Amino acid sequence: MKPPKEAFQFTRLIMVLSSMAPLFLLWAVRGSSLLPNQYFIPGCLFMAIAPTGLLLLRVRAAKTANDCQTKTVFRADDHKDHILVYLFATLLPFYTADLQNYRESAATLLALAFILFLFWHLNMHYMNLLFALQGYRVFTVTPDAKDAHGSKTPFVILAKRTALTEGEAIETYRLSDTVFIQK
Amino acid sequence: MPFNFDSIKSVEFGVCLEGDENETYRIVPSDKGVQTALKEMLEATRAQLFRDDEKLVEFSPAEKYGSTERLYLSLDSEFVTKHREIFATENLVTDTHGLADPKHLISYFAIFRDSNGDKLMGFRRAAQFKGVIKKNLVTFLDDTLKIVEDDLFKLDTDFDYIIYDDQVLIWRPSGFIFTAGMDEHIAACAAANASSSVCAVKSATLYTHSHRTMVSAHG
Repeated sequence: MKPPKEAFQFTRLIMVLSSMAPLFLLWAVRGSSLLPNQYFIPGCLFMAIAPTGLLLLRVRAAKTANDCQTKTVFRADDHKDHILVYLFATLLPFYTADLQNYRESAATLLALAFILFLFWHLNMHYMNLLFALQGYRVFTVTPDAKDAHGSKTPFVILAKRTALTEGEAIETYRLSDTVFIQK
Repeated sequence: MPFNFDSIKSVEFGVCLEGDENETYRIVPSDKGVQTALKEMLEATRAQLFRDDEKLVEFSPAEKYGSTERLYLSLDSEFVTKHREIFATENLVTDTHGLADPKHLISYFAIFRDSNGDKLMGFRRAAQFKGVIKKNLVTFLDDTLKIVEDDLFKLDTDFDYIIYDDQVLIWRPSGFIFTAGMDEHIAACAAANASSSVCAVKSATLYTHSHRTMVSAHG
């Protein structure tokens, strides 16, 4: 039996784009000599707001449909360091990117596309400043490898908690097949 | 704590699929409508099992049962090893395409959790459900007939058996036997029954033969 195909291919891409919102906001502030501000600023704001709006719609859709799953913790790691690494180490070079000539801008957009693909491919769409602002912490849960029929793939639970304890069952809404948000 | 049927907090829908080597169990995300239908299936099964306060009888693979019965088995029983395993499983794999190929479908199930977090699982052999209603189905939507272009699955009205509080309650023995993989047990019991019948016939023949001999000797 083949492993299941991951759901929400496009929505996950939008979620990754949403996680880039701080970058687009900074670009809107900095501006670019290549495009007039009347186009560049609304464009950046659109890229910052629209994907985040779609992410919020996905959360709302999961709540409306009661798309819930009970997840049992076998081992949980608090990965708050991920968001710091992401916001500063990954996006920092882009904050200072030179958008004043075409070649530099094209190179920056290409590098951004690579990062988008990697984050989408590696299911890292949970890294979002919006969740951090709402008080959610990121926990990577590893299922019990000895469980005969259970999933062996780690998944992410976003919870407003400081810790998840072993054996605890948590009611969650499904954001994607690998990311769940505590009810 | 015993499972509380009156305070079901969450419902998950899943399917058991036939794999290359063994069966796989997967969660297929469902919306409120499906969850309500599954709750109704549970309620119907419960009503049938506990109708008239009749006592449940222990299931035995050697017995021949009707299409519906009121049977039980302890989850410690050797006949429910598979059920014990699946009941203990947590974090099943999510598969939104779990119903994409109905020919691999063995059974479908629902996981219910009450407000205390206690679990109940209901299973149903995929027979009616497996028969996908293809296109050209007419339905009433906003007072006009429409063609439904999607594949449709029809849920049954009750479960074959339910598992909770360390017991398996069986309503449809055939569905339970089919999904339990009890063929070996049934075959062994059938062989035992057959051999005991042969023994009985043999001893009866011997008795008749010796009796006749005795009669003729005396005669």
